[in-house]
Amino acid sequence: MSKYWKEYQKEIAEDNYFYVRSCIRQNFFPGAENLFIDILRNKLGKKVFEDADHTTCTGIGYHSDIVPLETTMTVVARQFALMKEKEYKNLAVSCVTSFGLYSEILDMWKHKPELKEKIAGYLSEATGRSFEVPENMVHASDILYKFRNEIAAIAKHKLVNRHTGEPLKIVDHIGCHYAKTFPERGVGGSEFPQVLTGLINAWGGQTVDYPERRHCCGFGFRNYLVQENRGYSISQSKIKLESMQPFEPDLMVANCPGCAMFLDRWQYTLEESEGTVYGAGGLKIPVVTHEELAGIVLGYDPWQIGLQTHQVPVEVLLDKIGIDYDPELKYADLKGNLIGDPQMINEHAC
Amino acid sequence: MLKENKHTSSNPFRIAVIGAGPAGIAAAVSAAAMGVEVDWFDKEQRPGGKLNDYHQLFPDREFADQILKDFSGKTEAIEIKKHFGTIVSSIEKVDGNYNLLSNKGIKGSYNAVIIAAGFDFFDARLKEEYGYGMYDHVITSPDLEKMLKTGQEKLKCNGSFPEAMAFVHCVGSRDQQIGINYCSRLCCITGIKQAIEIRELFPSCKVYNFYIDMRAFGSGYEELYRQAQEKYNVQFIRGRVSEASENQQKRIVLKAEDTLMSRPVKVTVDWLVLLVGMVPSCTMVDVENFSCTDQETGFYKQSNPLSGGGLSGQPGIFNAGACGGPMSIPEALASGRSAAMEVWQYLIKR
Amino acid sequence: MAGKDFGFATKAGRQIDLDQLDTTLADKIALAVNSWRACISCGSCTATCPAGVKFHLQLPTLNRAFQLGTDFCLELPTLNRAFQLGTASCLELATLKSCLLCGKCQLVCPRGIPTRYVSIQIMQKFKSNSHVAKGIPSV
Repeated sequence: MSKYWKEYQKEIAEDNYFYVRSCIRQNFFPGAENLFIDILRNKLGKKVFEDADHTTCTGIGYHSDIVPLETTMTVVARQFALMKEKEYKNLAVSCVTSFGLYSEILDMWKHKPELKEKIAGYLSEATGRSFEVPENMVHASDILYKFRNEIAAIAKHKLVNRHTGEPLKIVDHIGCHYAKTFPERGVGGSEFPQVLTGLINAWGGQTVDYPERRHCCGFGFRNYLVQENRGYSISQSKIKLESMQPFEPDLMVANCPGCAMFLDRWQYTLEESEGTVYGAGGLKIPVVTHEELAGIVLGYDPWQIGLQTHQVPVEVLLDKIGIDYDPELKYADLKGNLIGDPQMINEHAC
Repeated sequence: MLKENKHTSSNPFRIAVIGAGPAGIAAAVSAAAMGVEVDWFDKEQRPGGKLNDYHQLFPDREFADQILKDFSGKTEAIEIKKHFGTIVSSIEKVDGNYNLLSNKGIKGSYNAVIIAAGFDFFDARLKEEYGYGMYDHVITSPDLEKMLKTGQEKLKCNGSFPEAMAFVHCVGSRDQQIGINYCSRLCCITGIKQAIEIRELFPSCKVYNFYIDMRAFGSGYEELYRQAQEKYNVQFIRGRVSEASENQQKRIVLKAEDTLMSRPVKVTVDWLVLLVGMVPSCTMVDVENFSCTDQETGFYKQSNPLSGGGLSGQPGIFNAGACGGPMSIPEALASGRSAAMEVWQYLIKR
Repeated sequence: MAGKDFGFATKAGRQIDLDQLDTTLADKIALAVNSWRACISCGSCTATCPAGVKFHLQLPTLNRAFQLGTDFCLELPTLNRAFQLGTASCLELATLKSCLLCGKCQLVCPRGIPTRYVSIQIMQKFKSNSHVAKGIPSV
């Protein structure tokens, strides 16, 4: 029997996470994952383990019809084997594509145990490893959701416009593979997801439920990998941007690598190609990830956590919240040496 | 008023009728008219069941209040012992007769029992994508019925009368997502009737009915459908709404496909009315040990609908009305009378 | 402004926006033939229509397009808009030209719609708009 949104509450492990990174997130917003680990270890006192042997989940290759399903399953089984070897039972996944893929594989194995046995055979043959499925598997944003009030208690900033005293209007965007395939694996299900609105509300912001809130960002996989196909991808982001425009959001938060990337980069593309911007006052709308949002309220230095890697400048947002930052150091390395501003390249880079 | 009482010592039959909606009214009145002593139970304090909340009935648009008045004329004219405000929870068989267990203790002993426990409306919150319970302007057909009954002022949006309204057919019917495969039969005609009422009340209001199949099965239903199209210009769009969301003005934005045009459509309405189906009543009497319910639908089943009305398969237990499946009021009345006749046959053969 | 070319561009939508619904034309036809609104898209007419079998004449689709105020073959202007602008060169009207007025559609219509008369009405409504008279047969 189906459930309604309030009943979609999942079990999120309290501590001892085996953390698996995303391949593309480390390129798109390199600070976010380190920030997540730092918050968990040093602000919340949790045990997080990262394994140097962990690899890609093959999600993008799989969704682009390059990697066959059984190969993908064997790779995923290997990640589970690493976790078993280090005696961890709680898997914390950074990437929504990986999270969706793991969920799908676990579901397939549940319905076809013989398939799981077959993959166990492949893994053993190829690596000599054996695996167990995680006892608890969550997305990184679930963990922040679980500890949202603890984070609020030690936060240095609130998601409030210091000039007006009004809460910031924040759009949440949940990656499709977080809950659309398995609503019971997402906090709040897929139609009224709570996982990010929970953070926004707990940290003083105001959520914006705009008509195209549930619409896919257009990332797809095949839809952006080939340049000629990107029209399909950007058209979907445009639908979302047009729909949220009248609400004049101050910020977008996304828990998925592709969504955070494209809702950010496509705004630049649309401005260049169509001359349109969707934020208030002729500005684009800043986009951050769930970890970055936590980092902002916890008072991390914006440039230390990599906020300068977003295409839409975040300074407007930082000014609204009242966060001190040194504009000179935006493009400095961790030691404070200036490494030069990004340059426009002539090739189509987006 | 002089009460008719045919009960004599030569005719010492005693039965219980559970439920005082249309089927229960017909069963109780018919059985009493045949000289059977009737104990009549209902969880509410007054008879009529859901009819008390209706405004006008399809297809002839009689006022529900008038029908209720006619019914009470019949029930007052004959001796029936009323036990209103009584919630019957289960039935037990003792020495070939039946006792009823209720919140007011054990009642008995009865030679036979007619269960006319009625139905519940489908809980529309389970179809999350329509936002019932989330958005103020998403209502169900029984909600609208109550609003129509209490006056059109209730239908004002932002201070003015609605400019557009939409009805969604088959909410909680014919839907694998919620595990309900059957057709609730009456929702189509309810939607047609309510659409006409809206067009009469607000002639400038556009009305869209989103249907997957129009099932106007009853006498006079098809004629009303045609009237809705021709005379009232209700737009019937073949396609199921797959998402409702709210815009800044708190109006509801719908996404559907006009499958006859093979094109997706979008429309903004002041009210979205969900034509909810019928499900077994949550206060259905526990007769599990008599295996009276249909495994798949949860409604009471008839052992052999061709040999007689309301036979449960358990001697002495009969059912009538919509507790046996979706049914119109005339059908429920006929079903109640039919069950009374079967009870009589059963009693005299005992 | 000529925007930067990235080698791809956003796509025009194909969603019909009912909020923009303009039924002026449908209302005009319905005034002449009220039963026209009772069409249930059963397709009886198209199945035996000489122009439907050989060309594109599909009265139910035409009916839906009118009811929704949409021109399903032209992406941008709606049918009503096309009518007002006198630019109706769209598929529907082109196909109506192929109507032989044989009357078979009317014979098989379960809703009793005088479909032959509907065709004539639509053609006349368009013909009365002088810009679009070209190519529409006299009836």
